[in-house]
Amino acid sequence: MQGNNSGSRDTILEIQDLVAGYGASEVLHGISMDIQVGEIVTMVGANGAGKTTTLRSICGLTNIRGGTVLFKGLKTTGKAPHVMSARGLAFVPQERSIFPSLSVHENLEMGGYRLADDGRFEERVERVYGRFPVLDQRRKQRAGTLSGGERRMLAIGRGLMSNPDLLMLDEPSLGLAPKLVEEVFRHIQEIHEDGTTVFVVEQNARRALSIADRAYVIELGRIRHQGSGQELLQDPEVQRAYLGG
Amino acid sequence: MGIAAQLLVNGLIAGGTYALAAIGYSMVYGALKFINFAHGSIAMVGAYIAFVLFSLGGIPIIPAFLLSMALTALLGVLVERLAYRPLRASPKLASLTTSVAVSFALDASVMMLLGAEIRSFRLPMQRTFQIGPVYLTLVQTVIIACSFAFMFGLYFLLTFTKLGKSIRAIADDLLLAEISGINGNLVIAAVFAIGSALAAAAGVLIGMETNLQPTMGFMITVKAFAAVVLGGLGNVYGAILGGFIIGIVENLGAWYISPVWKDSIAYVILILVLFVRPAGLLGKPEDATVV
Amino acid sequence: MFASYGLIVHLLVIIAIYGILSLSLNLVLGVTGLFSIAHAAFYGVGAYTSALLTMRGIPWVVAMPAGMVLAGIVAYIIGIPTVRLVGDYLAVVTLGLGEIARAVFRNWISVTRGPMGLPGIPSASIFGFTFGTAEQYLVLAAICLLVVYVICQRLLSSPFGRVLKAIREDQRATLALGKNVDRFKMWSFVIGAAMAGLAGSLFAHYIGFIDPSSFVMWLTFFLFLIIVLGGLGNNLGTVLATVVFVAAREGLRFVGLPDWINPAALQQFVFGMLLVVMTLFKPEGLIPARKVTYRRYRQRVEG
Ligand SMILES: Nc1ncnc2c1ncn2[C@@H]1O[C@H](COP(=O)(O)OP(=O)(O)O)[C@@H](O)[C@H]1O
Ligand SMILES: [Mg+2]
Repeated sequence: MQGNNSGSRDTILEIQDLVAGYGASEVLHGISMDIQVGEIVTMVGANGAGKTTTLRSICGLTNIRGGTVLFKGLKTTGKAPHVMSARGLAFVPQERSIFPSLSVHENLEMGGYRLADDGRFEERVERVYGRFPVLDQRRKQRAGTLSGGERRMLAIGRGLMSNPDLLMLDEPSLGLAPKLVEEVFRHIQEIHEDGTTVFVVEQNARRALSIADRAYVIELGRIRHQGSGQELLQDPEVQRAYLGG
Repeated sequence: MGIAAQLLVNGLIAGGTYALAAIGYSMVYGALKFINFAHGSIAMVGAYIAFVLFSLGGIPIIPAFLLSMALTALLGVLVERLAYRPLRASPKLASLTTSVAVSFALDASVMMLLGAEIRSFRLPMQRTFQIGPVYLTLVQTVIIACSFAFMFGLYFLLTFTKLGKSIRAIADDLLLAEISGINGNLVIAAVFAIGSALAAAAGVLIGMETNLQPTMGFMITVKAFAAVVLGGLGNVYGAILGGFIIGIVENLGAWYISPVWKDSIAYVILILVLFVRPAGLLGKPEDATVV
Repeated sequence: MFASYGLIVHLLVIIAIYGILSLSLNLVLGVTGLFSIAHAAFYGVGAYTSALLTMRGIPWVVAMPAGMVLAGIVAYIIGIPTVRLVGDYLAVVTLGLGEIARAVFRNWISVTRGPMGLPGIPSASIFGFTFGTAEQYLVLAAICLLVVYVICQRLLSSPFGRVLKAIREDQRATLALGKNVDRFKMWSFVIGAAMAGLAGSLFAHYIGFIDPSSFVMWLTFFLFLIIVLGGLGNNLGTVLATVVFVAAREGLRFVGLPDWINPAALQQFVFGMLLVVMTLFKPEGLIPARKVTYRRYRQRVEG
């Protein structure tokens, strides 16, 4: 691992007092959090709390007013998104997460764009097809014609193609039928078990907390609670606000 | 019957050049979602570069042609870098206005440097030969061959190469492409380079078949523009189809109606098509309507 | 100074006519954000209609409005398929309209006399009073400019104008407010075209001669430059920019140039570069509209 200038050798992502927003409006009012190598971390919160904005800020897609974001010990502010991708960050957005007019296979190629010439493209793409057999059957199909669930799998597969050190997923279960939600979470768990550090943002708090090593609860642009997934599942306040009981 | 075949072939020749010019329009629209009015003027500059190299510089026509494509590609990249990239986040009106201004500035530059008079390549290739009922000159044969060769090359590039796929990816979603690790600025520069090189080819071929004038860029803009919208904004193959349709209809119209209306026919068709199918022949309807 | 009295009066008349044209384009493009490049065509329709009718004995007070109405009708027809589409289509179709209009002026020889143009267009007259001299014509043109200016100002501050500006700023949000965006865009387009038709009529009866070359694309571009410099959407800025530019354009004719420079090309080059530089570095124009633009709002909030 490179970049241990923050002292903690295993911290892959470290956010301190992040203040960010869009244009004139401030959405995040001082967020601090971190992710260690090998963890699966989740951030839960209501619609509009600032989860997507947090992820976008990490990728440098928002207007950052204060605080720092260190990825592998290096500042991310002002870096183009493709540079962050090259450094090992993968982001699967909540919407618009596939290229609809490209084929399934081409979508995966674009995900592994940077590495396409390292000679191990085939190996990676076959691993993704192995993980998501539905995609394997549809290699030549235009991605725009896939169902919602298939699109989600393709988006995750696209994120994996760059061999990321940190995979960030924005509400991967949103709008899916319960059976598919289970499938998506099973995949996320498997991806984590296979050695990828994962940061997943969810409104589906119960499901997300149950798979997470650690979790953050965000409310109106501020971190309200943090702890291990199990701790937060037991926390009465969190239960009342986010777990419907 | 014979005349119809001849008109069809003439339409194919004109259409090939329009299609080449329209490709660049369509690719830039795909990448940046704005109409680059300066594209026709870039084609004009390409024609003049080849003219200067060939007629004044004494370089043989084929190297002059290729060199002009390369230099024009550079010009296209430069225009994007200096005039369009700073405006990418601004309202679309700003890029449209700038591209009109760039177009006028390019026309004026050529007019100042080389004069407003009509020029000609004077190629020794006007020998006519006959295929069935159709007469063709050597230049016309070259035009057909070139336009088909370039279009096939483009198809190959877009379908099978990494660059081509990333061009299609940024046309789908620039942000997602960048998140995926594609250097958007680099690909956009490539789009301008390819589009401008093909525009130069169109300009040179039109110049060979007819002649050169600093105002020819506007004519190319008008035709390519109609072709792109007819085929479906942003769809490269639609633009090619549109180019051929306009070339053919124009030539038929010039013969059966009157040659003075030749340049208006394309637009009458275009407006009629927009009434019926706003997205153009191959476009996706959801791209055409607002919101 | 060699600028004679007569020359100044002439300049003022041209400024007034261009002022009307610029204001009308400002309504369409500056206020509503419709990228119309056919303005020269509407100007031409107004000029030809008015000229042809008066040459057949119809009084100017009837011919002039007829030109305006016809320009408006053409805009309406063009607008039907295009106002509901993304802005680029309006650009394409209006570019085509410009070409078609020019082809009609040039080729419908039995009526327009084609490239030879229409000479001997009678002066404008109202109920027996003829605006025969340049001074009299200046009064007429100035009154028309004033009326158009007042109408444009009224439109801007009316509920109608606020919707137009909202469309320019954010069409989606305006739609969400339940406004019939297409109808508003159409009205703006038609009114703008009719005003350009008025300018055309004034021009035809002032010069007394028109031909197709008076209505080329270059004119529309010149108007672009004026409204961009005047600050898109700002009527006063538009008028002031008209004064500066028309004067500058006429002035450029008197600058001693070496003969290898084509003055028309130089003018086109200078104005083209100027527009590029303006859009890049000062997009709000030299005289920004006096409303709280998003940019200024942000500056204020961010300090
Ligand atoms: N592009 C944007 N421009 C301005 N405000 C935005 C934008 N995207 C989101 N917001 C605002 O930021 C806040 C947080 O949004 P978001 O981060 O998307 O929330 P979440 O992902 O938790 O649902 C919301 O109030 C939303 O309205
Ligand atoms: Mg979100």
